[in-house]
Amino acid sequence: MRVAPLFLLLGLAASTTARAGTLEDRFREGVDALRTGRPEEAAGVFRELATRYGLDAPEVLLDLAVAEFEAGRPGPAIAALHRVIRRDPRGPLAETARINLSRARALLSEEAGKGPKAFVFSPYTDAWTLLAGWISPRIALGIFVGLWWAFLLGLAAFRWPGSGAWRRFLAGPVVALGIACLLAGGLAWASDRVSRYTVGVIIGSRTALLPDPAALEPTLVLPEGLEVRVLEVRGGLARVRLSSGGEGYVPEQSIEIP
Amino acid sequence: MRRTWCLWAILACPVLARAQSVEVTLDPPTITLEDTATLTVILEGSFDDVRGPEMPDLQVVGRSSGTSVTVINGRMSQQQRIVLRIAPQRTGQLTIGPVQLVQRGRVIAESRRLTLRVLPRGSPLPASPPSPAPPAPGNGTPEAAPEEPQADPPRDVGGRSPGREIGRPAFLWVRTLDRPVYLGEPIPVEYLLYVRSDWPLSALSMDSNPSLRGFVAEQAQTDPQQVRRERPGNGPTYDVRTLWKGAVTPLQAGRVVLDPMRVTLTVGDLFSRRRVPIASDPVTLTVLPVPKEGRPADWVEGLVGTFGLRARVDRQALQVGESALLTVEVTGSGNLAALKPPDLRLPDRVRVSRVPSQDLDERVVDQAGVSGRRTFQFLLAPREPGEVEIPRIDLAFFNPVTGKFERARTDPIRLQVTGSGDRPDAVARSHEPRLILVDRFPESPAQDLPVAPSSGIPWGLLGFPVALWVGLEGWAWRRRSLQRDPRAAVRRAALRTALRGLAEARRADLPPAAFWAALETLLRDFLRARLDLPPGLSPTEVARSLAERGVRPPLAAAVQQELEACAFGRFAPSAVQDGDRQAALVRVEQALRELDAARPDRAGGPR
Repeated sequence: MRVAPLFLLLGLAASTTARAGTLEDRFREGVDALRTGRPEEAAGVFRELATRYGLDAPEVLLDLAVAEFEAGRPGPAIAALHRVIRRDPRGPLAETARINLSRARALLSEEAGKGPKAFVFSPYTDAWTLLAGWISPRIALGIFVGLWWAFLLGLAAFRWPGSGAWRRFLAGPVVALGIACLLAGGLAWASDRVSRYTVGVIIGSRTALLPDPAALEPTLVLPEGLEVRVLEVRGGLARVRLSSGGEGYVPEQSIEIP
Repeated sequence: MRRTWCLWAILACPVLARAQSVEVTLDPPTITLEDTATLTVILEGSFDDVRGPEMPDLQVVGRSSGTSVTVINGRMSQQQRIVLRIAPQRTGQLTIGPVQLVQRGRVIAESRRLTLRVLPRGSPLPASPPSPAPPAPGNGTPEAAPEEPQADPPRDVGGRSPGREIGRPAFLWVRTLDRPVYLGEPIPVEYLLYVRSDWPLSALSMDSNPSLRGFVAEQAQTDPQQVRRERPGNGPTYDVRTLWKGAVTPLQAGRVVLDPMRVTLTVGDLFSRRRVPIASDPVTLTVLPVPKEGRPADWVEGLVGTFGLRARVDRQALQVGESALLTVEVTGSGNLAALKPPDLRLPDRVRVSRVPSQDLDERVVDQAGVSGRRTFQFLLAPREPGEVEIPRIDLAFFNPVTGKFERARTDPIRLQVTGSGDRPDAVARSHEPRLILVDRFPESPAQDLPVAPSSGIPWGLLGFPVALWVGLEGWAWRRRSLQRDPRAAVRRAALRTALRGLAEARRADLPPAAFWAALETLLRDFLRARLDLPPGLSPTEVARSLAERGVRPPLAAAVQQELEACAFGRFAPSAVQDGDRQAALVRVEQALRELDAARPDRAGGPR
């Protein structure tokens, strides 16, 4: 009986080793399938690794995106690339994912340009993203806090007893700091607002954009891979807004939120 | 008549050139059953009649025509161009018979036979060859006259032609169909100004346009400055200007009149200029109602014309969750505006939603009438796997040429719907992925999503200096106010001090005389601190002073009574019981609070 725990430990170790080897082998199989023109098979392998075995590392997600794109499913591909970027925004794979995203959008735009109703595949853009999408919310907030402290210190110096001789020199910088502080506060607020956007990717091949949930006739037919802003998801429908400003409802299963 | 497209009805003007030729081209030579081809017939020269072409397996679904005049070395020639859009009725090699020009009962020119290759629906078409050379012209065609460059060559629809007007220096002529028309049928109308070529016309002004009451009129683009030359009835040569052209649709049956148009011509040179008003004759049209005999139940009121119907889907294999785009296209000439979206009888397991497709519609209004294309698009989203059949789509219309109801229909279309697994139409592409691939196995199997920083820190960083600032400012303000008015601090502290004294008196077990003395002292101290009452006043004087300071009389009387009770208790302690002490404490506390609430330190004094 004393040797039973030992056998159990050995068995667990062996099974762990075998599983690790199998996962890596499967990963290699997926890469080979993708390189030999079998994207469907590769997508199945990477999907299995990510969902069944919980191996949702950026490498797997990135290769899954490549396989999905090659298999003619740009929607899930773009969603997977967004997930890679979210996992480690500053990592080297995030940079690769960004490059892949740009390529995928360019390829989709090129294909869409051949049809009568062309869509531009680009990141979701609106006035707020143009205003504050270029800066990280953390950096914008840091700038705002720094300017705020500087402004308050300036005010304190202005109000300090005995600062009468210096007030005329201080007034201008304090006013400028106040204005800069206001602008930085607005920028930080807008940047935070943009960072809270829920961006979704259309994964249905042709998704009808309904003007309201009860409508029968869509206002637009959205192509797969289009990035939209998801305003709310309720009752099996997602209310989305397009970069062009259009708004409507799409079926919840036709959109993936990375 | 159905099998032979009689071109003669289209030709109204006599042809001026001597040489005769006929040329027929077909584009493209190979189509599928769901497509249409364009047959272009070019007639040149003088002739009495045109025969053909025989097209037993083809249906004409659209037509247009035009005329161009060419003058080369003083020799004028006229060319008629008729463009037919034809739709096949079956697959295989379909023959288009020759077009013959007839003069005095004799065939003077003939085109060659053409063959249209029709493939089954959905078949891939062969790659387009380089532009084929035009087919050899028919016999009796010595040369092909070059066309006069014209942006929009005028077209001729046939029908009425000027007869008795020929010879006059100028006249207005209404060209339209010379047959009874049907209610709802758009008919071509042209108002033409004929001015003899040798007449010195210098200006033209429109006096009145036709009102066209009783019609729905659609005007086509015209350019009154554009002039073509005609020589009607072998008479003098005329310069012809189109002043108004378009299509009109009669709104009621019976005899309706096309109003006259009035223009004023200015002729002559600077020294002998004169104005000549002219008007067209009113033209009476006979409008017949669409017959009730043989009228199909699904005929839409007003659908008069000649139409062809096509339906196609962009994919025949799809999976659940995807959609196929069904396009139903109606082409032809007639009242296209009366068309309604077809009723698709599809099973419930297919969700159908209409797609806006007005931008795909084409509508041409010219002197040939109204022709074009209406497109209806639907998204079909199957909910279950299996085969879905889009049934035959029917379109019943009234053909004004044959005077009968006819029907255009499509073939059924089948969709193969698979489950949500593999997509059947995945495109096999180059083996090298177009996106960057990573072949490094992940070292750490899974990573958690980065945790967002707590949002409290920024708020703390923002709020702390503000709070510090406010606190320091408040403290400085209080110090300044105390320095300015030291009495103010005493006034504010009066109630707090008095209540503290009351609490001590309640706790301490003082002898009766000391208790009442302490209570009286406490009350008088409060009145001095809060209301600036001088010490040593009798209770009656205290009440009066309070009244003078605006304290309510009942409250002043209550304070007077308490002071008297204190004096009584101080001087006759044995007469006061313990219960009276507790009640006095309560009453004094209430009086103190009421006096403090009167806030005599505020502007306006106590109330």
